[in-house]
Amino acid sequence: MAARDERNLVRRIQAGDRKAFEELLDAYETRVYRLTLRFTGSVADAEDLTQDIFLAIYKGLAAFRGGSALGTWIYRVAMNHCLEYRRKRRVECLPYDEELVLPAEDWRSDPEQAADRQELAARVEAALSRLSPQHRDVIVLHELQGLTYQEVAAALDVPVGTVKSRLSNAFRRLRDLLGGYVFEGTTTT
Amino acid sequence: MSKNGPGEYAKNGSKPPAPSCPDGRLHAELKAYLDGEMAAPRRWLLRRHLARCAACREEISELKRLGEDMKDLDRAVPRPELRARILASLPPATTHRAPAPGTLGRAVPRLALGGALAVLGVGAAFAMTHLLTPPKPAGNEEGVRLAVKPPVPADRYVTNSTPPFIPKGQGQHPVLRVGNPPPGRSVDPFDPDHLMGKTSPPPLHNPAPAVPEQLPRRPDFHSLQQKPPENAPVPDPLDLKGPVQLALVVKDTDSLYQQIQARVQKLGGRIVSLTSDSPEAPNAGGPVPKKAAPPGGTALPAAPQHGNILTLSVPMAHARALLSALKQLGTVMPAPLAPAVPTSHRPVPKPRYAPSDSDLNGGPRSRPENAGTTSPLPSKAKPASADKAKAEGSATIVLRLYRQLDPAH
Repeated sequence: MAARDERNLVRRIQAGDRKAFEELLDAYETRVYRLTLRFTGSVADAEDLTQDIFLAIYKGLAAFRGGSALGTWIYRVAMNHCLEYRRKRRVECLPYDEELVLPAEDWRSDPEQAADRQELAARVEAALSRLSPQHRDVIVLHELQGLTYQEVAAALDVPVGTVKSRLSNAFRRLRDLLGGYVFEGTTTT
Repeated sequence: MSKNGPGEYAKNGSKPPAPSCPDGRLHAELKAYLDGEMAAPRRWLLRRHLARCAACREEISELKRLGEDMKDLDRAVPRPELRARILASLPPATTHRAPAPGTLGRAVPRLALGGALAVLGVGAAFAMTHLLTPPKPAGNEEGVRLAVKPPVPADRYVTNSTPPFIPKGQGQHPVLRVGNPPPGRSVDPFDPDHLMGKTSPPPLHNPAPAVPEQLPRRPDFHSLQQKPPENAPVPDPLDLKGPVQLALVVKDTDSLYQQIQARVQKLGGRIVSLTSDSPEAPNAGGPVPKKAAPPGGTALPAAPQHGNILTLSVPMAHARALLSALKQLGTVMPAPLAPAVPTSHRPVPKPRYAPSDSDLNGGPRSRPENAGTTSPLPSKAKPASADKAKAEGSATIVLRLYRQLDPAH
């Protein structure tokens, strides 16, 4: 969303335009839901957390002054809720959840490849769940949510250099955990 | 090492030892290089390094592959119900503008003044609550009944709480009392038995002075009552023969009356009466501010804002729609506290003023037979017109208003 559109959207929401908030919901609902699903590991908890986050966003927008991009601010709010959830639940290592991996789209066209991809996804998920929370957070935000280093730093309230080093270490650890699978794929392609 | 093929490594899940990179710092920045998050000079350096270092080339290809494999991991989509849930959970739209940048300096004196007033107010409330209220067991209430507190004469120092309705030891809460008891008074003025006339009140030393003139007041929220039964099902207006007794618990009471009025009128209904179960409330016959009761008892602009019990009448076909509309304002639940207090125990004096139909519905309308000219019915009593309205195809809803108590308090 362009900066001007964001400003306009925020202004409309602050003026009490409910439709404008629905536009914001359209733009961010899926992303926030996926983020909360990562942290909660269950659909019901993810929905509750997503609802809490958007309620907080709705209330917080009254005081939003445009000091940062809207998306960055939304992720900051979302991460605060997710970290609070983790703190309360004290879930340090999420078990692998079948819900998080969906069948590949090309299941019908190439069942074998689809099965391979699904197996790979399952292994990556399992490796992700064995990472430390700090490493997992940067991977979720950067690799899965597509945030830049700067945005990840803002969402986690850490310096960009920290994001850079955490991501590098997290990937190295992930590669070690995946071991031969990655090696096999790398050498055969 | 060279004799081992990739398949063998894949089977045992181990990884061949990577050749070591002589430049550890550049090696650690491979991920940032891949993501394009590296400054131009470092990127140039790393590119030159990659041309010489096989270990880094291998690692960078692995990182790239791993990143691609992760792109497809998150494919979950929220259920459509979630969007509706989120939208339904939002509070009513209010216009709120963020302070413009640079206005903080001008706002500081106002903030300081507001803070000072808030501190004074909290201090006064604390003193009144703790010095004038007898200790009572704290309950776990969330609902605060909305009621109007009329001006308190000097000879009465009990607020609009309704102690007779609260069973002893059940969810009682300290109630803010106004006024000081006369010196030397030993009888507990807050004893429900005393208020119900079982014990004779001590003689009053000071006769009531003239009621001072007052501006129309917004409803204040003093009396605490039992928590409404949250889990009880909301009765369906179509299933009941008599009026439906409901409670509406709201967080924001600003223009609540107008919001209810708008919703009722939109559905072709009307507000039949506005009453209060507080003995001091104007509509229940207590002292009435002078401005609110001109001679003749005609329409009064401020009067309809007094009261905490609304009797609504809507066409039967729109009864459920009205319930849904009320749910947008707050939590709707069956009316709590149905302490069937006999009227003989709690005499309700004849009201001096009863709001007219045009007062209640915001303009001239055809008057119902039982509204306007007659006294509004007390909340416990079913309106006499309810059955008639039912027969005519309209539903009657008696709505008690509550404000949700902040859990922090």
